[in-house]
Amino acid sequence: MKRALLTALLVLRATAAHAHKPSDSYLALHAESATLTGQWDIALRDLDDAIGLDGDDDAAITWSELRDRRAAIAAYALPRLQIEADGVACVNRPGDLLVDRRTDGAYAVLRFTVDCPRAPQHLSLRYALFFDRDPQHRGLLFLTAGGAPQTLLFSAVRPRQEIDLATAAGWGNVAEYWRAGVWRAATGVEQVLFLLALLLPSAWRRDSGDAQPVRVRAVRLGILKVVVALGVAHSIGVALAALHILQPPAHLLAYGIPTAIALAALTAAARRLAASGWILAFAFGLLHGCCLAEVLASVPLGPVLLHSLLGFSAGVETGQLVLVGICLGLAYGLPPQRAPRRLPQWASAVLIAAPIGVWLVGRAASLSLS
Amino acid sequence: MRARLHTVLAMVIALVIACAAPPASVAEPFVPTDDALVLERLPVSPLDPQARRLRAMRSDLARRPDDLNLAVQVAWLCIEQGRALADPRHYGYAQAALAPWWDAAAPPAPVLVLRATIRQHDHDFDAALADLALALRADPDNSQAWLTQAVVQQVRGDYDAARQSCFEVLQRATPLVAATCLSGVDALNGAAAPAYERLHHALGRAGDTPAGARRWALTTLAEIAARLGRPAAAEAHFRQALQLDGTDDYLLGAYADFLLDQRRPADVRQLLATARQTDAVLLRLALADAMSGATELAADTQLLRERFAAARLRGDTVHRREEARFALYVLGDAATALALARDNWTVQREPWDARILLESALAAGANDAAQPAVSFLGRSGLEDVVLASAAARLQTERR
Repeated sequence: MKRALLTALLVLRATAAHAHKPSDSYLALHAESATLTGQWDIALRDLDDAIGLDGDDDAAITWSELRDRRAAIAAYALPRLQIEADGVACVNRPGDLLVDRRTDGAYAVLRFTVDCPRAPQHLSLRYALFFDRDPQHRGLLFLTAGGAPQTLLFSAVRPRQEIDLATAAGWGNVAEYWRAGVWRAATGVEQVLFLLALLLPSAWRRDSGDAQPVRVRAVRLGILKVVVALGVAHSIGVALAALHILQPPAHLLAYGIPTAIALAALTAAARRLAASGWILAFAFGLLHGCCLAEVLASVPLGPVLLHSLLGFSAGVETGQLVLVGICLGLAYGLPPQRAPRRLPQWASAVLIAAPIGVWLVGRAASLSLS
Repeated sequence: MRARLHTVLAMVIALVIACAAPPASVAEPFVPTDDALVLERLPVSPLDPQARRLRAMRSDLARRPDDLNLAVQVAWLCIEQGRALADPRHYGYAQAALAPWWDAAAPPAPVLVLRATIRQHDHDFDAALADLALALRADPDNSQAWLTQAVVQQVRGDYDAARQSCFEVLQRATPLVAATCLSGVDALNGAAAPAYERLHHALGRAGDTPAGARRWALTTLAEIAARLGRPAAAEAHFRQALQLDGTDDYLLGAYADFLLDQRRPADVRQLLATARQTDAVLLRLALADAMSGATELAADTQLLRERFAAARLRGDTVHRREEARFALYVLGDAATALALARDNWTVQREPWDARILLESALAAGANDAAQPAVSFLGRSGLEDVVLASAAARLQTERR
């Protein structure tokens, strides 16, 4: 009794905020066709408590130990997620196993597919992972299915969810993707920077001694060519990738974009730009368009459909045009005296070298992480 | 020449921000290339005898879920593990052990006390008090229930009731535990200095008591001393308590808060250097960073943001006091802090709950919002130098 009393009073003084996070799993489901795709992030700590992962009992779970338990993980988790499409049970099939690090530790990422008899109009989900071991566990579901994505919570008191899916062919979604595209253009810094790197020099080109920009019309034509080339190439790239004519390798975007920016900046410095800027812009646009699917995947709106892609692409181009317009307006609007100038040569050399170095180190570090 | 400089500048800006753009897949699932990569370190070795015993008991319980004695034992062990590791999933395991009785209106008394303990940990104080009242009707001699009730009533700011519960503990537990209970309440209720003396005296006389009880007494002494504005005494008691258990979450948090009030952020970092990265620890580290302008501030802030976001996603509301402190002192967002502090005040009424409400109201320029806490302070006679000065500032600003 004394020991229990002691435990009681010690526990009571631990009413401070939850130290670690309680147990959660993260479930992403895409329901666009008869075969749903899913990804289930489950905390390693929870899995270890349920089925044991630490093969050699050294209190450390390594990748090889996790991989060895891959079948067991799938066999434990997937039967605890029951999906019915229009009243007919679907079958879960395990896929790849990956790892993710979240704010409270490492998670096993179980990819899987769900075979349903046909594309569902109505989904019925029953979630039962860990509730028998930890009634405070929650399952967070991110469901995308043609309509707006939904976030749903499974708990021990609410283990079922019923979802009516919007019809997949909704062109009404295009507006949403367009908006997302505009937002992405605003926040997708690399595109705007690329354009600026190409365009600003021509806007600011001053022949020595002149207060006014010369050959205004030629400069404007040059800018127009660049912007048009970018837009056209972008759409072509999007179409090529969407129709699966081109299959861009996985990290083309991540490495191609900074390279393109560097190239743009270098050619701008070489001042050979006015004539050939549009060629570089075309190449960049093609690159970005091809990889737009990858970009779109990072926007949590769901899997890539043709109309969503086109909407997104149009949004991106709209956003770009607006931003470019603002920047150029500022550049034109700046009186000559206000334009930045007078940087000594060595300072500009340092300023260029430092970011390149940082960037290279950063990319190398991210390479070694994955 | 000039155009060249302009282009150089454009180039530079482009590259600098390109570097700032996050790499494509840092927070994404990945396939490790190294088999020996350690993904997660478990907090307890699987070979630890206590852990093995608990695992065996849980397996037994899975086969005989209706065994009340076994279930109660397992639940207490899980709760103790949850406290030691500061990991709430163990409270979930305890709840699972009680599954056959969890939803009953009037389960057996041991289950009621456990259920109350788990619910109070989840900040469901009303339900906890209801369970305790039921348990005490059935078993008025249950000192655990009295003690739990005293603490919950104290957290709610119901000091008269808490004192009554402590008197019941007096007859049923060791003098030190009872003295800590009573002094804890009296110190919040207008008799802080005498309460300190009494508890100090009781600790000196206590002789051979379990470390846990001594630590609770020392922590309480430290908190009373800090609130009375006696930093030297507070520090001495905190250090004595740490010697008994250097990993207790609550103690580390309380000592860190004291050090922050003394404006010693470097000592906070040193204190928490080897502590588990719990939300409570991260908060104090972030507060220390903000105070000292440390470079770790950005990383600690981001981590805390993610933790609070994850809690919000799952619908948890137990963090509001901590989130309010984070919003006010790290993010400088007085409006959010005030909203959180007001919500928090409806659930709990400890000195820190009053303090964050007063300070966020002051910062947000919404002095009326702090009125509930000000009235509470007036009614209870709570003595706390920091609270007193905050309340005084509020009064002067209202005029």
